[in-house]
Amino acid sequence: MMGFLSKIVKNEIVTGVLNNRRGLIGLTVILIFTFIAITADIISPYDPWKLTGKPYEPPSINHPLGCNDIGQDILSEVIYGSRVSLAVGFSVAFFSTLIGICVGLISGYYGGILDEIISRGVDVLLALPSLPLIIILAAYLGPSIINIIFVLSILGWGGMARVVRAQTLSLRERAFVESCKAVGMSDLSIVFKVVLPNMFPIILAESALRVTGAILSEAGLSFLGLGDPTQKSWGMILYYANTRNAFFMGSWLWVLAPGLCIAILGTAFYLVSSALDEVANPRLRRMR
Amino acid sequence: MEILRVERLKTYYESVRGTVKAVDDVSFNLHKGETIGLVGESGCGKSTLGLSIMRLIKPPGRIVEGRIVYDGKIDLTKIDYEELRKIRWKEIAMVFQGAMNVLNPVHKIVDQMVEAIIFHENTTKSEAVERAAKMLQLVGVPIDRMKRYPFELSGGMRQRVVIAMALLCNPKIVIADEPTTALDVVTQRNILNLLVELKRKLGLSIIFITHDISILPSISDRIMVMYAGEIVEIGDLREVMNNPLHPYTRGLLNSILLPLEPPKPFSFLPGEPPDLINPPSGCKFHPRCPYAFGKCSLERPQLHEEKPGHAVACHLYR
Amino acid sequence: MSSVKGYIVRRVSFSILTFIILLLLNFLIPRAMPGDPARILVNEYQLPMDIVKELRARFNLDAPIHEQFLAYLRETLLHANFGYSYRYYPMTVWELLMQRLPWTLFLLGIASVTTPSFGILLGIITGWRRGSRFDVFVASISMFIWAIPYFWLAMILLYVFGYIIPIFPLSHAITPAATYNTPIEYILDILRHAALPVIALTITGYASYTLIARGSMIDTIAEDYILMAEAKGLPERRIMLNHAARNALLPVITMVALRFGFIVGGSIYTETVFSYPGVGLLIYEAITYHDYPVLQGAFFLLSLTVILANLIADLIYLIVDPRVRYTR
Repeated sequence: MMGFLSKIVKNEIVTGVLNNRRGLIGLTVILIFTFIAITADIISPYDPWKLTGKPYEPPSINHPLGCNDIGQDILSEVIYGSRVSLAVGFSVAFFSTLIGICVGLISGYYGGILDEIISRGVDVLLALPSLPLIIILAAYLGPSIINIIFVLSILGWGGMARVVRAQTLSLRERAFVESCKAVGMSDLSIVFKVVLPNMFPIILAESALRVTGAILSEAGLSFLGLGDPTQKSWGMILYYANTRNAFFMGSWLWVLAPGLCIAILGTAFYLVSSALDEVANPRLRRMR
Repeated sequence: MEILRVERLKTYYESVRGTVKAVDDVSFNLHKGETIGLVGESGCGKSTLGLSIMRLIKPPGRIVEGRIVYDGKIDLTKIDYEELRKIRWKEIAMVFQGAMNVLNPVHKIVDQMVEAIIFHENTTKSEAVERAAKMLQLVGVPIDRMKRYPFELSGGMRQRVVIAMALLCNPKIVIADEPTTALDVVTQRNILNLLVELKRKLGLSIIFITHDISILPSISDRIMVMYAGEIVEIGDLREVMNNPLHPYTRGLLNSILLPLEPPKPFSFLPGEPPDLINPPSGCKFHPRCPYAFGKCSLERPQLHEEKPGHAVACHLYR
Repeated sequence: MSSVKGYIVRRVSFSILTFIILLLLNFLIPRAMPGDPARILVNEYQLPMDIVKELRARFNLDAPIHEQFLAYLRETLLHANFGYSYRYYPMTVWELLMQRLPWTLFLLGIASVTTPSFGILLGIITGWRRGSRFDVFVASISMFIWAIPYFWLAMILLYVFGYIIPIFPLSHAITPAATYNTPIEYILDILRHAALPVIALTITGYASYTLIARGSMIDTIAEDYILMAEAKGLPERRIMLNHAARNALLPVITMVALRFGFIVGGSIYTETVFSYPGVGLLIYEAITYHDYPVLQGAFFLLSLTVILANLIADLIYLIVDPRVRYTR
């Protein structure tokens, strides 16, 4: 029963996204980057950690994007960077979604005092400025990729919790949930078999946005010097670009390339999220 | 003397399911000083007709064909936006139904009224405020209400304000779209009496739109019956009420139950209003008509004068 | 009028709650980390022993945790004592913050006016002209800009407008060691230096305002009183602004409050890229030099600013919407 239900729901989502032009573009870009990340060892021209060129070497056939300040190939850096950024993005999105769903479901389904307390807590979480908080946590925990994922996850679930709670509240009142209760389904069954599957499009939409948020946050943290120096993330590339004066040495591609990748990938996730929004809420679909 | 002439007007809406023919080839004229009561079921197109005259139809609707000639000279369908803007409210004004929704909730009453005057005439603000005050007096709204917000007024008061607002620039024509529908019976009666009085005092020409035929005798000189986007009967009030020609009109009149009176035969109209995207062929009323015969499903009847001043669109009379 | 009081009470108590959580976090985070703070003081920075002793006494660093918390509250709330900066010793954190704060407030002050104004205006116009080419253009660009990292955009702006086409200066809040003939010159110099950072902040932040304003505008236009305004024969601009925008903006203003947190976050990056001597740059330096007391103090101050800004915006909302004042 559960498998059958999820097949139907997933199908609708997948076709919804593929039929949507923006969703299609977004998904394609994401797949391209994922492919690049997975096959980095094969398609990357050099090992990004090896010194394969001269410092600040300008773009050439050998090094299409040039070299950074110590002579590492920038194109290879960027290719490998996709790995870290995607890994961080997906992990953070996954964990914060998980936490957000749990909190949102509990809050929305049971209501009452529990809901009040939890909602208040989420409001406070969202009211505190996230960047300073993230910075402080990252600074004290130390520069490692695990820490970054941890920090971003525990501070990033608020939006998801809100969305899930709102959805749960509205679904809870619907007739088919009432009838499930009347039939004698346990709360747990209702929540996981009935309420949750109906929210998949919205949850996915919100998750997609979280991926972008995570990638941007990781880039920002790295830029400030809180990143993991053992990783070649796009953020770390930009950190060195800034602190080693890329612009003034003429290596503007050093700055342009990773930033552009972040922007393009981020936009792709936004497009997919937007397509999923339209699947979840057909009213949003424009009449063509 | 003719002040408004509508010729073969067609207003259609594009929807996912097809083209909704809300106003489908309507022609009539309005004489100076007269009140035409436009009556029909919900969804027959009467509001659309009213909005079309002021060119307030928004996409996905549009005026597809036809002319609307004002004062014998100006074709409202052809003039550009700036000219139209000048004519709106100053020459032709509208009283909307649902006064609560039609008044801006964050502006005071006096501001909304003054605005209507200032943008059409060259008066100072204080002059405009005075005029607004006088008009409110005319419609029976206490002056102290002027500085209030719409939600602070009762339903009846708001409707009076809307009426007063429509009259501020002394328009020649007033289109009243169901001005009493959302009100209770007592307030309804009061508003109707008010309109009759104003019509007399100010010499207005009115198109009074309603779905309730029973209130028309109080105010109309002529009656125009609309069905499925078409005019099916038009004529002098007494003439049509005493001598309804079109079967639909008959059904409408018979639907009015006077107190303590048993239901008459044909005192209800069977069936439902037609689908305006795929209306019935020929005469749109034929599926519900007790007198329908062969020709009715084939050919659309044209409006023709059966008696002087009394026209009908029905194959029974040819 | 009771609803007004209720609203104020709710908003103020929420702000207080958030502030309390802030205090707790600020206290717990450093102490939750492995390592004794005192030892960090001694080992990393080789502070003189008597200073270490003084800090230990003030903050009760040897006492059990609840006494530490009381000491922390006392020092923070009553004396604004955040300790000494490691790097700029013997300056206290407080002195350092106060030195840098005005510049940040200046920047944020301007940006928090320009960003919503620009964003909302764009939202009003695109909402009014929904579906037009302008609308589509703005939407596409905004979507892309949303995914761009703040600092990257700032770097590019700096490079293009500071270096390639040198309209604006490259760094700092004022030209170092400059003399001015008139106050006007001084002000102009400040403005010139603030221009690029403000532009960067505005570009990175406007999109959410535009989105919400546009959505609100589209909803508002469907209302009947807009139809009435058109029927009245009012000029288009008047309908768009006085009738549609006036109503559409009400829900937008609460959103303005929530966004202050993001503007503050953005200023950290912006100040870093433009070397603008505010609290943001201070945080960057504190990170680089492991100046933990400064980091904590700055975090606290910045968060407090956001909480206050949100509260003020909530109270402003009260003035703007007359319905809140009068409805039961």
